[in-house]
Amino acid sequence: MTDPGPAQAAGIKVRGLTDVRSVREILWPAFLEGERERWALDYRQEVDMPRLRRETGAQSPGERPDVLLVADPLLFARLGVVAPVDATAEGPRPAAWVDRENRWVSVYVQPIVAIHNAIYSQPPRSWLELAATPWHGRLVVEAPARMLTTGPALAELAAALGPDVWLPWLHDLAAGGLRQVADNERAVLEVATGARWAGLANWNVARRVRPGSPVRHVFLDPTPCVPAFAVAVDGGTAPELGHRFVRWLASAAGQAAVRRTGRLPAADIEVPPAETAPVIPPGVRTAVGTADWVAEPDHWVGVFTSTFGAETDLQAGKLRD
Amino acid sequence: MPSADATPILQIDTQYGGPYAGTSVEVSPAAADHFNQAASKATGVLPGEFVPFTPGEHFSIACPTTPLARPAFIAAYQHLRAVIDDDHEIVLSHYPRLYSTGLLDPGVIRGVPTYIPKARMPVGFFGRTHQLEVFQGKDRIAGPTERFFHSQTSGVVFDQIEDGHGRLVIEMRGDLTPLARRGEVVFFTDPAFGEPTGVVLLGPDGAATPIAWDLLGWDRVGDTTLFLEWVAVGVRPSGRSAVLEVAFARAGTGVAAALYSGHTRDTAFRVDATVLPAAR
Repeated sequence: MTDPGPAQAAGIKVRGLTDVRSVREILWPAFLEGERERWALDYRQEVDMPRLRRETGAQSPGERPDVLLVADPLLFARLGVVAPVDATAEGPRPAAWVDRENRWVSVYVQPIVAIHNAIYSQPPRSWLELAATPWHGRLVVEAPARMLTTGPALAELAAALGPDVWLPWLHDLAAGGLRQVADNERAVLEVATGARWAGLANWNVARRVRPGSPVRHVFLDPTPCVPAFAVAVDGGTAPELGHRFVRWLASAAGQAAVRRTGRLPAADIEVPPAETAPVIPPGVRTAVGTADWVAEPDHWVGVFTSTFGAETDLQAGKLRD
Repeated sequence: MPSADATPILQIDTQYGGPYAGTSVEVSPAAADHFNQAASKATGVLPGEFVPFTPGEHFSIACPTTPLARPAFIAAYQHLRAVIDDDHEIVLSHYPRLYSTGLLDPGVIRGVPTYIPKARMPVGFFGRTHQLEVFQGKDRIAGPTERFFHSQTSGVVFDQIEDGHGRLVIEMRGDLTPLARRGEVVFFTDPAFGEPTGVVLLGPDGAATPIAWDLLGWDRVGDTTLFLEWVAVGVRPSGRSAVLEVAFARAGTGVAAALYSGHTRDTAFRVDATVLPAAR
């Protein structure tokens, strides 16, 4: 193991979409099992991507995070501070998620599910149904143009629904008053109150509701699965340790730890291991790696912005502590 | 005791601990519009009674008082100022508030929280304890006393109020320690729902504990009633989150908010909360 040196002894700074408990209490302790030092972790969950890009692109290297866990790695790579990582990923990955320059590696996968308030509505039965009149003024989603989860999920549906159906369907959703919010937590919150009756959320957030909550979720066919990527940043306080953490996340040990967070490891998406309980119900197909939104996000951002309108005063969910 | 200009001096009611301050509240555009619309349509609004709400994060400074005739109270309120840490002076009449009138006599006012935009205070002000004094003219009517001024994440976080059949469901998280110690949650609920008919605290294991409550007053602008103000007492949650269920006899849609020492999100300060007909 490379001597990390005194400047790295304090540990690393990680920022990203993953919830605090999963990173601090599961992933990081598992990573430390293979380390000689008890490195400290400075982790903050961050869904405000413009703010995270400012932090990542900080002129003073010490202010930059060492590792990012994000959905849109290219937008960070464009800052010129992302370092290629020679990671050997456990398991196969869809080609659309693999970067030829090794600037990012997929770590886990989020199925995107439909959520609904059981007091007010039956579960939606199909993607196309969501654009129908009974749902007008009733739907809430994390803003697609942010390309965190809803945007990639809608992009993955383009191939499944077909271009002649997909774009008119988006326009019908917009015409029906689709409400945009800052994150999946807020979407679940608004469905829980009853202010909105249904929406979309990633599976991990959708199921994190209290017993007795009126919020239910359903896997529509096909279920888009959206990856989160690990990215190593140049110029942080502990680049070597950051690289090791990214490599470990992609490894068999890292993917096993990801599984313990309750998420789908990226390694499992194409060939699910027999011993794990199936997350996607039998009979429901997945939409995985069918669109180029990782490598070409601008096109999709343009489509979603022109369809759903610019973001204004998006309201965030339970991410503040 | 009259002041120099014959406006009576407000007397602080200490039943619930005297002046309370520092509760953090998100006012949504819908909530601001709701109260502003109500005021614009109300009759009998006295000069100096209403200041329009603006959306955004606010903190409250509240002066529960012994009841006073409405015109005299509103006149006295024009002279109130809060002084924080000897450093920040806030003229309360410059900011929005909703007067709380007596339960049985709408002609008297018993107190009022004033909602001050957080942007009015310097960076780093919230999430800390400050010294509070309230003056009416030159007369100090409350304090100096220490109060914690909450950030978005300090104290009890009132996350959401959910619609329900014959009830509303309130979910809380954050630091529930101060709530467990004092046991009080203040509610604003719409007249459309009527008075609460039952309150239960749901524990982590689903066990339901009956909770008592006291009605405090009807908040009005002019002669329009906006909501019933009441306090649940003996709310002593354990764990990192808690759920209160409040039963109402009448179905309807309107105001519902829950507040205590902490932060109330806009999803727990609603103007579209709905009590559905009770399930059979």
